[in-house]
Amino acid sequence: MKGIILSLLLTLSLEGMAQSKVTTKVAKLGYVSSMFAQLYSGPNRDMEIYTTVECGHPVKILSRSDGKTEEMIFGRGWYLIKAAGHEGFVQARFVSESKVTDCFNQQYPKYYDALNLTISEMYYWGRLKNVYNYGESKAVGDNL
Amino acid sequence: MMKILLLTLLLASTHAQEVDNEFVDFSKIKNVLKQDGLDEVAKKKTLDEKKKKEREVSKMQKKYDMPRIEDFWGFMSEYWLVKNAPILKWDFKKADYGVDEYFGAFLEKFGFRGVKYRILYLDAPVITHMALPANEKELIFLISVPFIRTLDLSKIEISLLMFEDYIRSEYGYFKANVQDADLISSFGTNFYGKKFDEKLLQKVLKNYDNMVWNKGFTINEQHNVTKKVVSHLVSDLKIWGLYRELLVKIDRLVKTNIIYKNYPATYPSPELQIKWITEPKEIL
Repeated sequence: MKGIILSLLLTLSLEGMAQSKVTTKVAKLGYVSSMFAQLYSGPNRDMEIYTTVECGHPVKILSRSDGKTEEMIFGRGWYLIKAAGHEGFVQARFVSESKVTDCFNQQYPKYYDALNLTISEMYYWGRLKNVYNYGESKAVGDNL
Repeated sequence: MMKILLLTLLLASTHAQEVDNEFVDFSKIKNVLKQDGLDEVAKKKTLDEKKKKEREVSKMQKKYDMPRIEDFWGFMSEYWLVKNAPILKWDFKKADYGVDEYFGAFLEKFGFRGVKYRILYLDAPVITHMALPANEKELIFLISVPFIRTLDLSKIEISLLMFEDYIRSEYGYFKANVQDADLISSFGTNFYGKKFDEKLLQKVLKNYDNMVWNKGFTINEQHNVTKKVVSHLVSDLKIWGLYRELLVKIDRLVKTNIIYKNYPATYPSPELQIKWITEPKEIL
């Protein structure tokens, strides 16, 4: 009897594990479109920062599935991406699905090099992009 | 003996052939080459190579482009914000005041559409409120959280201050105060083969510092801004009244709180603004 109960419990726990197993896969490719973007440990700008990546850097946009649902946008507009050897969350507004051609560092590479940005300045620049609150007034005709 | 003779004849005939080859008249086959189109192919190839080389040189030279005016201000303001991060203290955990959405609706109400903006909250009173230039039709608003808390400002009051900053930027006062002839003439130029003028960049940073920390705006500039703000707000007397009350609050603050004593040096002055907006003939 004991054996039956134990094997039942084991089967149930294994099924539960199989159901809650979360998998990630590459959904599409993208490029950093902001001067700098930062990868966070969660979809929130107050989370731990893993790294800072430059504009134009290629990234892999991941989707996450729990077997039932698949999601690609997390929180209030965040992607889960793989870039520069890290997997983390980045604000979707900083990632373009097509190759970016108007990065400041690519348009003016020698000018940008001459700035001699320190690691700390790059970090702050990436952070700055994340701490802004973005807004806009609707363009003419938007609400017609 | 016979063998030697044969060898001599053989050598002599080989030498004669080589000599003949040396004197092949290529001009005779020019026409043949022309007819075959090989001449054209060779010309095209040379031209293509020349063009390729020119493209490579141009691509390499382009790397030395100075920013165009439309790319400069957003970059420069952010560069200044990064350089001054420890003083401005904008990297802190803050509450969501909901102003980003509210201000959009505020601008629309007064007919300002398609304006993009970024709000940066500061955990320091060193700048109370200010708009920095960004790219075209875009602004960076700086708002001090200690200032908001001290005055217990509502969303509409914060929006009124931002609106004042927006009008100030429409006049282009900030840009006009930090740029000079050297900077203007550098936009869109190229420094290939020259030394990068680092002094120019440092000068603009200094001008930003001077504008924000010392110089501020003139009475004339402030008068124009206040009048313009009122000319828009007068269509909604409730909001106009709130603007006046806000200026009274700020006036009281700057006269009683030492932390904000320099406010009138940047924005001269709340007292004058109250006077300007209550001139009856001007608001009717």
